[in-house]
Amino acid sequence: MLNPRDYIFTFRDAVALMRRCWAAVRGASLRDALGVIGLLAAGLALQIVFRLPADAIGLWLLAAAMLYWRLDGRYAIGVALVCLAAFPILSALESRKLSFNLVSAEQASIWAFFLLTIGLAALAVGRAPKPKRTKRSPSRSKR
Amino acid sequence: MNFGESNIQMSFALIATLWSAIIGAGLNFDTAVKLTFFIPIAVFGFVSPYLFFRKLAPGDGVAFLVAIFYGATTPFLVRQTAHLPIAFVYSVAPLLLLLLENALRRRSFGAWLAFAAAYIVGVCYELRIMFIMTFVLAAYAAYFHGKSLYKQRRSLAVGIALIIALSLFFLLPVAFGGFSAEISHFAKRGLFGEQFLDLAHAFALSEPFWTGGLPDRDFVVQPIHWYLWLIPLVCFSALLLPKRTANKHGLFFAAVALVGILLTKQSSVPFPSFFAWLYENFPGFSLFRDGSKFFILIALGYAGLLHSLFTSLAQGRATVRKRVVFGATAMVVLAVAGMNVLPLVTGEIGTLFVPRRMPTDYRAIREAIGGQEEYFRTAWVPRSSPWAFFSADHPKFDVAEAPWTGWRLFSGSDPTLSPERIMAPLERSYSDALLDASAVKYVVVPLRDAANDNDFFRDYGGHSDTAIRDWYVSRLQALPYLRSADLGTKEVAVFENDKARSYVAALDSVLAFASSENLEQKYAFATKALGAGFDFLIADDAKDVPAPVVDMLFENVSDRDLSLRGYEAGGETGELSTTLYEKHGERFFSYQLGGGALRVYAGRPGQLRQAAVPLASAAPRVVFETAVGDGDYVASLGTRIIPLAPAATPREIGSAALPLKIERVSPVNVIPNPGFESGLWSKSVGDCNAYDDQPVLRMALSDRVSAGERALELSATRHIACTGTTMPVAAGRRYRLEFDYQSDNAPQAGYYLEFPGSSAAPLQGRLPVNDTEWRRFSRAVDVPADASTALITVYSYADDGGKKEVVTRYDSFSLRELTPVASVPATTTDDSFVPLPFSPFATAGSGVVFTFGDPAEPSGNLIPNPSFEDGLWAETVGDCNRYDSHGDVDMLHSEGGSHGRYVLELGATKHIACTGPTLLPVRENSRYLFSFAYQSPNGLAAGYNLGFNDPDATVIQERLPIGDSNWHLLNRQILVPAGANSVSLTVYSYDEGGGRRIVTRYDNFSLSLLPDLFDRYYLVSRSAEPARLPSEVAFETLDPTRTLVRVRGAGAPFYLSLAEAYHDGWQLRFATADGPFSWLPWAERERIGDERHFALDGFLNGWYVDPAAVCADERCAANPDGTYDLTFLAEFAPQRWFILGLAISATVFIGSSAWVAGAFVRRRLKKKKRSSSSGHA
Repeated sequence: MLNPRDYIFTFRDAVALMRRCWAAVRGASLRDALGVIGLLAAGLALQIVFRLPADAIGLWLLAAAMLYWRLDGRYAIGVALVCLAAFPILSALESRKLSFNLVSAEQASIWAFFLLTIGLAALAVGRAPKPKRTKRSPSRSKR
Repeated sequence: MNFGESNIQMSFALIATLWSAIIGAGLNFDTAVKLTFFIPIAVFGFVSPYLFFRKLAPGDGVAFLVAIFYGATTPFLVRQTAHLPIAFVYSVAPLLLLLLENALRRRSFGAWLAFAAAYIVGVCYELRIMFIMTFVLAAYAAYFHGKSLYKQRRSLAVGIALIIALSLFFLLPVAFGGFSAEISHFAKRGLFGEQFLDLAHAFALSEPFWTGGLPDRDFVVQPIHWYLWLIPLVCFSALLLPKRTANKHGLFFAAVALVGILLTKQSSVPFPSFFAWLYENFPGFSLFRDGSKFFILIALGYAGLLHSLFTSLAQGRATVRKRVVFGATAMVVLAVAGMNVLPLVTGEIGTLFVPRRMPTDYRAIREAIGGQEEYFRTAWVPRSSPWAFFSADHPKFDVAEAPWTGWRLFSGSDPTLSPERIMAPLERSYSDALLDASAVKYVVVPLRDAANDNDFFRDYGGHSDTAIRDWYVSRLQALPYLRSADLGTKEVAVFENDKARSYVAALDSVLAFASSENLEQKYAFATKALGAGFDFLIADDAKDVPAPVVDMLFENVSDRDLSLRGYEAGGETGELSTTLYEKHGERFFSYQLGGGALRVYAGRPGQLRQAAVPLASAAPRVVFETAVGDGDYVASLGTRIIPLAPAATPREIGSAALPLKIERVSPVNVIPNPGFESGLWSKSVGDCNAYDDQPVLRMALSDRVSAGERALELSATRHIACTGTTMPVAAGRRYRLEFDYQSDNAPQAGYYLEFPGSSAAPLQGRLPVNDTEWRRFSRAVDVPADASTALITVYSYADDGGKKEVVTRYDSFSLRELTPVASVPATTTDDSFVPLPFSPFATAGSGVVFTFGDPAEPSGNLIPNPSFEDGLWAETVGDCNRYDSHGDVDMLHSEGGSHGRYVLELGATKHIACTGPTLLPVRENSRYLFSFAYQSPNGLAAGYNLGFNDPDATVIQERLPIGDSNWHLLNRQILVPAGANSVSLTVYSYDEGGGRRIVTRYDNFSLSLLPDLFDRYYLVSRSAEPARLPSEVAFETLDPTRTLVRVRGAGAPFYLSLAEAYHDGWQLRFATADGPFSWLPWAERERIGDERHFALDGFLNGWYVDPAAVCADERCAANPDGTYDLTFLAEFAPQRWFILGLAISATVFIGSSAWVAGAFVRRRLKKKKRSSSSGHA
């Protein structure tokens, strides 16, 4: 049965995400630790070598993290929808010169595009058939 | 249409054939368009997505909702207002997916035939959208049927083979018909409209010109309606569905939508260079000048996402919550669709959605023109109405489109749609002959039909001039070669040219010009000196067309050496006879003052030399002579004053388009304190640009003088410093105003002369300052009849930055009355061309060498710092296309270049970068040689603009195509218009979208005065045997691509003209008996050789026919008088490829359909038989 909570990204989902992150930190495996170090190194490289702005680095790292840990792409898509919904509001504020130099509407639409792409890629990877694990036959192993 | 240019959109022939069939069946064109466009678009726009999405997942309600959304998107609605072929493919796109799905599932020949036929129909309507759809179809097949594609490779191959076979009717002529140049030209027009598309409009699926009513026609991007944002939110929320309920379709259509968004936003962020990269590198992508065509991907993607969302919500047990979510989402979709189609219901959308009534005038024109048997064209000014009549025998063409049709040679370099530019080809000295050659019988000015929403005049000057149509009519009425014609119209203005040439005609005079420039001067020479007509060809080494060769000497002077070498000139006994002509009787004046007499001469002293020896030419003649006393005399041409100085030999005054006046200068200067020896004119400096309360201005006496001991010094750091004085003047009299000016750092000085109490307009001007020397300004002033005093004001202009103190000095003012002595009208003498004796025998090894004047007196280069060795011209770069505040332009002082160490480098990432030197002083009615070097590593064009300060504000501008990264040299002769004494020069780097920095480099500028040698000498080389008209030429048009031509009594060579746009594919073959396979495109045919086929008048087909050479093997009938009768077939040969391809495509389609129908019938019979046998059992 469909639960609307699965359909709409709620505050409870956000809390669950944070708990999961915290649990992941506490029970981090060697793979997780390597992943975090790799992401930090990649972030530094993007900053120093390519001189990308902070939001671009964040998006690239998010994409890498989602694919590395096979995170649910719906998180990124949920944030993307928030950015999309914010566009007309920010745009209206800008046209009335009330933007307060917060995020620009154009920036919100760019984030939405990247987050949708990342989310879609993560969903596609999630749907990809996982490699079959070959089980040892007990009878043969006994032999 | 137009001049019969080749049709590169061959695939549209199927639709045109359908129209012909419908009209042939007794219906009209209006019905044909409704049947082929309006009705299919209206039906398929909703039915096609309904059928496809119903196939994906059964459910009428869901498919209905998706169909409503798809058929009511703003890009689809806007396309229906103007771009019907695009709208058609948009409407059938889901149907194509459905047919592909069927073909892949059923794997039957019939299903593949249905898909191939539908695909080809789509291609015939709109190739570009089908190019996009091809990738969607391929991705769909790979994503949903990837595993089974290899298994059904045979049926897949059959499907592809069917598509290729059905496409041959346009693939063959495109591949082998010689259209590659036209297609390449079309595909390389460069990107367009990057400012119209952005990520937000792409996300919201909001067409940039969607207003919610009548779509904007002025290219103003419209804000996005807030409710359109609900669509992407609803659609992408389909991706939030839990994995267990989400279906595979959602991911595919989300990917399609995101690719569509990425491409539709074109050059906006993110990835601003991606579109431009695809345009340059991805095969076929150059067909897309802008991203708006990719809206179809977003619409398809969103439709798929909606379907995925609704299907998921509809699956499983129907709970209250699910029903609420489903209902709310459906309401949103229906409401947005309803808002979009509301203007269709109310009629606000206008355009094609509103019924039109054809004005009776167009019906009258159709009856009057359609009833005439002879072939002729109609020219529509500025362009034709949608109801303008045309047929194969009576083509129409739009004069406003001249730069993009065969008339491009005659429309000038101005690419704008200004009324003056549009009228230019009709108002030249040769326009009468041009219309004759173009077979134009009627020139029509259509209605300004606001009632039918058909006021296209607004794009041709009507925006700023409500009476623009009357302006066009009045200009046509003034043309001597046209007369008003009565075709039964009341308001549509029709003019007749009664000398329109026949569709096929023989000519006995065609001249060969070295270039297509300066046609007016060459036409005047051809008519006055040679008694020839307008017809010409441009000399081409690849052609062998005997014709008198006309060379305008010094037409393309590329340096100041002014010598021409290498003219091949045979003697009178050789194959060529060469004649040199000199133009006489021009409006050129010189004078001699001395011995108590003043003589004015008309005509120019000869200055042409052959091998350093002056050639004898007629001496200037005296047109005026008078005794003069002491005092100063001047010659004035308009406002220009030329002081006359005593001299032993005649001295030049110059060319004059205005009457020449000889005047005596009064010794009395009416300006008080003219040299500031008694102090300043006023106590304090004036502020002549007080835009705020922070002026920084100064005025003082200076000891840097041009004469005396004092001068005026005005300085301005902010605002404009000014001062002035009044003086008495005599009403209605003429004066000479003079003063000296100088500056160390100002680009210009300026003055303002007004007459207080008079209604006359003041006189004013900005004067170029190019060095630190004193310059003297002089002009004639006509005092108004109601003026008794004059007030002169002079200025010092602050720099834009407000940081530099700009100092300008003035001295030695003078305003003296002029007393008329004599007036010589400009039309004293008529132009004539006189043969000039010269030696036609070439010097061994160098040919004939002509030089002009005295090369030892070159004029200086007027452009300061011409090769940027002393830095740039300006401190900051200009933005010459500031349509928004996001410009990204720059300017660098780079090393390298074609001359010296440095070059100017302009960079444009967004908008247009521009810069230029200070104002340049020039002389009116004089000719200058303008040149510079330009280069770009990644740009399509360089460009310049020369703006004169004449009363008409004349502008000369060009975009110079660049096809490589080499340095190129521009050389132009510039004629300074009357009334101009300065010119501004601006050079550009044009952005091309895509976020790339377009670099354009410039170097080695030069602007130098040329001696008076333009249009002065002509060299004519004639062949031994002149052409002669045959006694009769008759023709019979078999179809638009074939005409039978019968020539009788041809006793000498002649030229044959065919009034169709020149194309290499046109052939003049002998109409001899054909073999059974002679219709094949590669069949050999006896014909006039390609080397004798040329572009007549630069745009029509012409052949040189020499009966003595071609009449062999009984191809011609010999007459007793020694002449021949010839019969030709003028044929557009690439049409044979079309016919061959059409035969193959039609055979494949009919054969396949018959096979499928046969199989269907067999199956039915078998089924019937089986059921009857089981019944018996």
